[in-house]
Amino acid sequence: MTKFNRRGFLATSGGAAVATLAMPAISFGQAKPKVVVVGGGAGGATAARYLAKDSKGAIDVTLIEASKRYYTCFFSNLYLGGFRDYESIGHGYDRLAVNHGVNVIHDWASGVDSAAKTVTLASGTKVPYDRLVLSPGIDMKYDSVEGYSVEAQDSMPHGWKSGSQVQLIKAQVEAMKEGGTFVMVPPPNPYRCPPGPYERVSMIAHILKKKNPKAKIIVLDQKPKFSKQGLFMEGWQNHYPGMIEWIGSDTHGGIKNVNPETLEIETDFDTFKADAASLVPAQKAGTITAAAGVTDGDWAPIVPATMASKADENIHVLGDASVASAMPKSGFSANSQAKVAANAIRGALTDSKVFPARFSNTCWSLIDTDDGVKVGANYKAGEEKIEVVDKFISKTGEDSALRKATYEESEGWYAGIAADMFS
Amino acid sequence: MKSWGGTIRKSSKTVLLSTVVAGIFLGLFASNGLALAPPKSFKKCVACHQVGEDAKNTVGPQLNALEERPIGSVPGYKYSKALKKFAQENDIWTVNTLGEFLKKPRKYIRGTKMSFAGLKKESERTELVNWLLHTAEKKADTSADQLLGASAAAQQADPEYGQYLSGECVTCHRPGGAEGIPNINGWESRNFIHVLYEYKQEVRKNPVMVTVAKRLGDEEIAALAAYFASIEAE
Repeated sequence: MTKFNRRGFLATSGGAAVATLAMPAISFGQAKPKVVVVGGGAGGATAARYLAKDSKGAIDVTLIEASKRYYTCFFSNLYLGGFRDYESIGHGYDRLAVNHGVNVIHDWASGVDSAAKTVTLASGTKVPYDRLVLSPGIDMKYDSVEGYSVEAQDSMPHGWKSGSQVQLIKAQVEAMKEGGTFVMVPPPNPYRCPPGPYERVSMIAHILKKKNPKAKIIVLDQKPKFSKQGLFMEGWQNHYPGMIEWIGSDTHGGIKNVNPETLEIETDFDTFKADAASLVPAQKAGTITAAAGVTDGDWAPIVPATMASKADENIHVLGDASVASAMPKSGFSANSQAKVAANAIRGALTDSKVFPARFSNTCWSLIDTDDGVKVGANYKAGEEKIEVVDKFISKTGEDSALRKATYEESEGWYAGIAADMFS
Repeated sequence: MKSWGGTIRKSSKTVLLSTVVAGIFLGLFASNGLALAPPKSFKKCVACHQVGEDAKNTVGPQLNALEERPIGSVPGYKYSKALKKFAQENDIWTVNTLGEFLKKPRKYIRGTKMSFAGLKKESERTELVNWLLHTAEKKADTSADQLLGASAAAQQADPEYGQYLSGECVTCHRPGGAEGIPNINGWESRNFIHVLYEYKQEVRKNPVMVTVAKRLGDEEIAALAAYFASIEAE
């Protein structure tokens, strides 16, 4: 790597640099501008794909992702409920390499040297960048609940990163004794996928209604209220009468501690004994963001117009790891933010046109067979924050044909976003 | 369901070119050779419906470009209240909804004008639905003065802007379409503009699309229409 970047060089060398625009590689005797993307989920895979696809080879794009096969968090609840088989939510990275020329490295990014502009891999290799995109998703704050730990996640799985943890929940629900109790502990705000815990409850109820109809589900929420609450409450009443009891933090007074051996959960109000349980702890940005020095507290603040870190203009942070409110932490949001970032990065590195940031998000949830609901909004970049332009939510009391259409639409969306990330 | 639709589409592509006999079959088609011969079961429809370049509304509406046009949107045809209500909740016909409708029309849309008992045999329905949605005449019979969004159609379209804006669409609309969400690649731009305007004016109610369309100005709509028209449908 040379010391100057193209931007700085262009600014100081005036007219002579114009000719270099077309063929920077030859003029500089160095490689094309390099973008390194860390994390191959909805944010990272989309960013890598759009950067490579739209720059038509003018940018050297490297995607660093530890997993060779990626299981989406979105729709993992549908796997749990038996509406999807496990492999249908798994995706590989081959087409990003073959169709768009993305260099895919399956390794763990362990550090960032933002002064030298390199990413260090677990294997020891250093990968240089001109721009870095961090889209690492979330890490669990295991110690946010007393008694919970990395080890405890085998008996009280969080299942909040898809994969084997969700398989574990499914197995534990199916093995529950007749008439047993499942306890779900949703996380405090802010967290990945706001309606997710309640869709999970719905899907578990869907299984239990068939296989273990006397079983009960208790939801000990770490919040006083939750996303799409009216819609879920109505749906639970309609589809699973008497099965699900939701207790907000206002009522139980807070989770005091959990015992992963006995599956006991103690609140100010009472101690609950579960036959199977899922606990989702508080969350923070994936650790690489802290290593890169772009976090403020648990999350990474960003400049809304470009998704660049407020701490380092050469590092962009996407998706769950970023402070992108008013957007929720969702796969759809990350995918949307990735396109804004890709447009801004291309503009900075190759002088392509930069258009104003536009974001959108929709979260679909399935309550029972053919009963889908949705909430969504579109957004623009404000000075400090991403701001809502317009929003919508499904209504209670909708007829079954509309709910079925909403569910089918969610299936279509899954096919769409999967193609937008991996094809 | 998906792969099945995909296979039909793929095979239709290869057959499309070689089938010029379609025009002669049943005497319904203009002999441009673009339409694939209809399945036998379509004979049950022809007393009331026409397909092809010169197709007109008769007892029922013409059935051109069924996949690309909003439900209940053929100009000059007077639809039942029941179908209009159905159209507010369902944007376009899908393999699922059209299949259910043709199984027992008056049960699926109570109050429909279509006095047809229904196609009991699933294999017949599958064949007919796929033909109607994927291979029957594609060009919508809508003339420019009946379309909404003339102000957008008059705009100069910036393809680069269209490509950028398309990012918002393709999170859901995949090439070739999928269950519940239609393909939008290769749509004629006047149809594309018309449909977005219907969402803008909430003639069509899907809140996701209403929210998307309301934010789009004429410049954006024109750019998107030009962009998607330029991509070949799968």
